[in-house]
Amino acid sequence: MTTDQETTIINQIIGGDTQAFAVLVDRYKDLVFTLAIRMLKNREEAEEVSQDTFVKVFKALPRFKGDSKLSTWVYKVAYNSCLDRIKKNKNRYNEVGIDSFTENQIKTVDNALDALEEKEQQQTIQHCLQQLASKDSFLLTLFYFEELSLEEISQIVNKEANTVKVNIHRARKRLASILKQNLEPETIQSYERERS
Amino acid sequence: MKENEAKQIEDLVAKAMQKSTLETPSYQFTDKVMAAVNAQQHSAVTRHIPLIPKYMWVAIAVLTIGFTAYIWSVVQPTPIAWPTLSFDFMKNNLLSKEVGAITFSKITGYAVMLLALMLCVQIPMLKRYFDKQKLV
Repeated sequence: MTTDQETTIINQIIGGDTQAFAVLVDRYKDLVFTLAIRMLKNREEAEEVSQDTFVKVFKALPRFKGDSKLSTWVYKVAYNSCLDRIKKNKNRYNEVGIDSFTENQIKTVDNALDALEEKEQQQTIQHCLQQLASKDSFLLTLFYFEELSLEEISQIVNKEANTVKVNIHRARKRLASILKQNLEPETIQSYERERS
Repeated sequence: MKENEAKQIEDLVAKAMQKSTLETPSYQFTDKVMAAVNAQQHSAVTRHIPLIPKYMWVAIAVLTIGFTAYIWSVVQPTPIAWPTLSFDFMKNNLLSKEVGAITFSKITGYAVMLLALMLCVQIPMLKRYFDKQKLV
């Protein structure tokens, strides 16, 4: 459900106070932009699509019924705008296969990640997310950043909650594979050297 | 074993995602959005303003009715002597007879009807197409 404060802002905007919309833009711009960049893998395009998303939200605001969270609705518009752009560009982002892991391998990747410095860790993870398929990256961002429930995510991506659950599970595995590929061989070797 | 692996991957990804940061758009992002929104709002407003506002139509109607009533009361109407016109020449001229003699086959009739029908279908489709182009 929409919060009281958001309902007030929406009513102000519908009532003609266009400037009130800036509050909503400021509230959601970072996550909308992050979602767009994770899907489109390009800063300029992500910024364009994010702007487009907010213009669409503004235009459709009088039709927003308020039976879902405003954020859920905004992310849904962002998701569809990104899909449209991908379709328009005919971009096919790299689909990474799912590797099977042994417990040891996961632990090694985990430790190798820990061995990196804070800044390096962030860079590596950003780089890995960049390599992850658009939809996987979108799902993981919503799940971990917004901590949305499977039900809420299923509303955004227009899929069954169970399908979303399976997709998130696969996305995790793919991200782990990418992490493994990116941390190998230097980091893992150096980690193993340190350990021995 | 599988469950354990899934749990470990879950933990690893959760940890990685915690360390990733939110991206920030350019400094002027909100301003750009608001400019686009205001432009949208402005064009929407101008598009719907009629050239002659409602009150002008009311004023024109009142003036016309008032003026007619005034003329009616001042000048008493007298029957107008319309000239009597005969349109018989239309029936009797050669061209009308020639045109009247033309007969179309059934197939031609159906073809013309089909053409008219197709036009009726095409017009709304073309209208929608051009409307969409205007929006872009």
